Amino acid sequence: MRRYSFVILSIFLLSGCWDRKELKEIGMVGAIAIDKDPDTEEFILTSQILIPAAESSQNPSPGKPFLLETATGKTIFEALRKTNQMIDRRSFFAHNKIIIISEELAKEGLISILDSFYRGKEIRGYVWICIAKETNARNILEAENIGVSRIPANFLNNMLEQTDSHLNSVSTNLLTFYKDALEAGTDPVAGVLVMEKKEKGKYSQNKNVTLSGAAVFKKDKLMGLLNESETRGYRWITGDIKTGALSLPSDIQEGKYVSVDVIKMNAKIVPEVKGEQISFAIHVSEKGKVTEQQATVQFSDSKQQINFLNSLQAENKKIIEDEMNQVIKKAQALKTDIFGLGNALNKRYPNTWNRVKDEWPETFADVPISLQVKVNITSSGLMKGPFKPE
Amino acid sequence: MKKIRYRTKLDLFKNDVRKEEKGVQDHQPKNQSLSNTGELDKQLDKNIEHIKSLFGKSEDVKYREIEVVTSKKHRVFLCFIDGLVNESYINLHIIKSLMEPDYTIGSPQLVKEESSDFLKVIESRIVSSLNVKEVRNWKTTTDSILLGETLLLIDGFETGLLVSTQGFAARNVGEPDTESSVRGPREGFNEVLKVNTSLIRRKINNPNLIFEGMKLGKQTKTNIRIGYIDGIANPKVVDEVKKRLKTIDTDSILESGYIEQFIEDHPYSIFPTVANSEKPDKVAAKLLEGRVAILCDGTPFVLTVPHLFVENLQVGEDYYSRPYLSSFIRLLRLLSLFLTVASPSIYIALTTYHHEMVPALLLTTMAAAQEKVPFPTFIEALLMAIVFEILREAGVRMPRPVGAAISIVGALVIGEAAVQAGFVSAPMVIVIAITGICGFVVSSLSDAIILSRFLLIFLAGALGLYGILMGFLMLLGHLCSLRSFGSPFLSPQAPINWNGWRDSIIRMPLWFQKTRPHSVVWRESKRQGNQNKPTRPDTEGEEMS
Repeated sequence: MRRYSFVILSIFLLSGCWDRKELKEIGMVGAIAIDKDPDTEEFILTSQILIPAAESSQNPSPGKPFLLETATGKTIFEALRKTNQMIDRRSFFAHNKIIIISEELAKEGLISILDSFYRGKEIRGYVWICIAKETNARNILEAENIGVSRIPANFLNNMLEQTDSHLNSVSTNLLTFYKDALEAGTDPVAGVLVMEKKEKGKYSQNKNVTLSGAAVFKKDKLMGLLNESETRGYRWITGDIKTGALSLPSDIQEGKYVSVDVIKMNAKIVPEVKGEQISFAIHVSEKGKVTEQQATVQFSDSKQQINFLNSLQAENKKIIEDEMNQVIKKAQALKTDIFGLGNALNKRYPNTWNRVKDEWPETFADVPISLQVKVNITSSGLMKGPFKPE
Repeated sequence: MKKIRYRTKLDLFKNDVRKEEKGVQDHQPKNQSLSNTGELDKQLDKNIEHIKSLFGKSEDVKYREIEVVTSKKHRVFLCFIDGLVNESYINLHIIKSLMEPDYTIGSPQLVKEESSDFLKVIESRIVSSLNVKEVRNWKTTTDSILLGETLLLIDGFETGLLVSTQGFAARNVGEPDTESSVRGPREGFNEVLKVNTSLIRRKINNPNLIFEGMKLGKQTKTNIRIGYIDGIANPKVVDEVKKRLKTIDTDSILESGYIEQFIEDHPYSIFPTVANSEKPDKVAAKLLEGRVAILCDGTPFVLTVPHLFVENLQVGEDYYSRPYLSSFIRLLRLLSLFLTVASPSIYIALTTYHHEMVPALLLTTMAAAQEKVPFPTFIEALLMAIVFEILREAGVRMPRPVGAAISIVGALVIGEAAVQAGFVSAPMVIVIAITGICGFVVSSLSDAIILSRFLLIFLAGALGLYGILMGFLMLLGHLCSLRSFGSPFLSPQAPINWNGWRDSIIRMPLWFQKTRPHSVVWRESKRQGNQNKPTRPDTEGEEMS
């Protein structure tokens, strides 16, 4: 009996507790920013470490709820571990929300930077990957009191999570980035964070971080940035829209606008192969409703209203087509297939794909793409037509 | 060197005990031989002497010698125990009847009878008591006196009369403290065996309800009743109960808990395999399901076997109220059982091993609360769990007037003040509070719950969620290995028996439960017909077609 209890006790005493870490011993990293020192060619890694005591509901300690710590290293992992030299808590990455990479560094390719995160088990697969436009990545993390959340990491995370409520940007996590970068028939995009400096007083804040546009990669190398209307075009093509506002010029009154909200949309890429000729047709169908009407006229009969809706649909269709054409032109110029046309071809015509996949970027650059857009505006909200004050 | 000294000391100790035991045993048989063997004597004086030598030292044994004058003088002797008998009953129905014989006594017919057998005359004409029986040997005599009967001896007869005159102070039938209910009968058992059997018999008016008698305990000679319904209970289980009860060889049975510990299947298990209840309706329901009840004189707690695990999740009220809420509340009880066993250990595992499993915002809050606590979470949880158990025990044991003081101190120890002082974190207080509250929901399992909770706290502190998983597997494996009087403890869940599921974790409507629980009776046993589902009169025709 004594011998058995000794064996059982030694199981707990010898094998247990080795990875025990009290909450007091860990420093939760909320966000990571990566820059490169142009002189030493070393990575500059900035971790945002949360200070839980400042978030305490009982007697919060005054001051910022986070800490920024910067370390340099020849590899990312070296820099990550160097952070522990400067901070009294062991870095804990499982709740890291976002990795921000400066535009300059991203041009050299992301896979060699992200490898440490993807290989290791410490960071989750759905951490957001973002590009800092025209600024150091660290600057983005330094911005204080810019959102509702006091912790910039939470602010950035929530902002990236709600890209489906507007059309002007994209968000990509580590897993999809890797998938798109490694796959032959598609290239990744990533969200772009812009540091806006505003004149004081105009918007009451002097600094603001905005999620705007998209970064276009060729494999893992940053090729260029899309502006907001190009980003909208990209999202029309990928069909990744849940809701968003479109402003259309009103044709019944000069200088006034109509707002259309996207209720539902579908996009489909249809590859066509005729002999050697590869072409694509992109079918987009949109269902929208009128959510704002600036014009103050009165329709005399319902026919006029139908005409108005018809012209609105035509207007909407034209805008979508314009935006899609813009982004296609840009992508073809950069030779990056961010729409996944290669994948669509692979699924439909695997033989053709196998023939062209080695020089796909070049083929993509001048493949003809036709657009077929259907717009259906189904509702005008709670009101039938515009109002005219009399 | 040390070892040898230790051994000699142990031997000394053992020898001492043995000597003492011998002394007691020497005295015992003498006493017993006096009371147990032998028959009553013809001469009254010899009998009186015998009784007085038996009970002589006890002050509460009363003797009364009277003379009955009819056509002759008769010496009559009464013996009873003060406090166990109803004195006015003895006065009115024995002494008064004997001393004031009615006019028929003098009649010639009676004189003739009297001369032949005065004992018969007393038994059949004079003593106006419900229950009079003749007795010849000393063993039954003394046993009956000790139960509150009155011994009546007449000079010249070697047969005595035992008149049942029992009457002693007993608690009223009241609402039990341990099992209170909102809907359902309020009465509970009390300490008197015959009241308890009568309470059950009032629920089941059926000659097949059988209460077999037995006496247990060499010294206490406690009355036991084995209750079962002939034709419903499995005869093998009844026989097994009787067999196990017969093998009990002990001095005293002071409470049904003594019996439970002598007859249970798994004395080393932390889980009880014998159920107890204070409520007649619950015991009656269990008898009707085919279980066997063991009633013990002197305690309101009645044992029922076989005992299944699901019984701990069932309450009489489940059957009195409609099935929907009952089923929901049973699920809540199951959840409470899980929470009370596992919540402190899960909290430990999450905060010391698996931070990534907690949502970031919650983890920040938890970390903020932990920031000022000086102990590791494991120690904190262990301390709080122990303190809670101490408070609970104090609440049970304390004298009623100091109750308010205990609750104030208790609120300080596990509450705001402790958090303010920085000894414990607020989330830990919440976890312990949930643990405590949920523990009261399944109170019949409380001993097993507390022990397994501490087991899991240790496992979680050493191995994290992996340890909790191992702990649950151990507990589950152990539960699967248990039997209670032939029934697997986890049935109808394991081994699976779909019929039993109608009344285990959820309660199906009563009209749906057509058979008695198979896990108890182990044979086909129909409880009710098929036509019990209520129908509206206007849809009756449609249902038929």
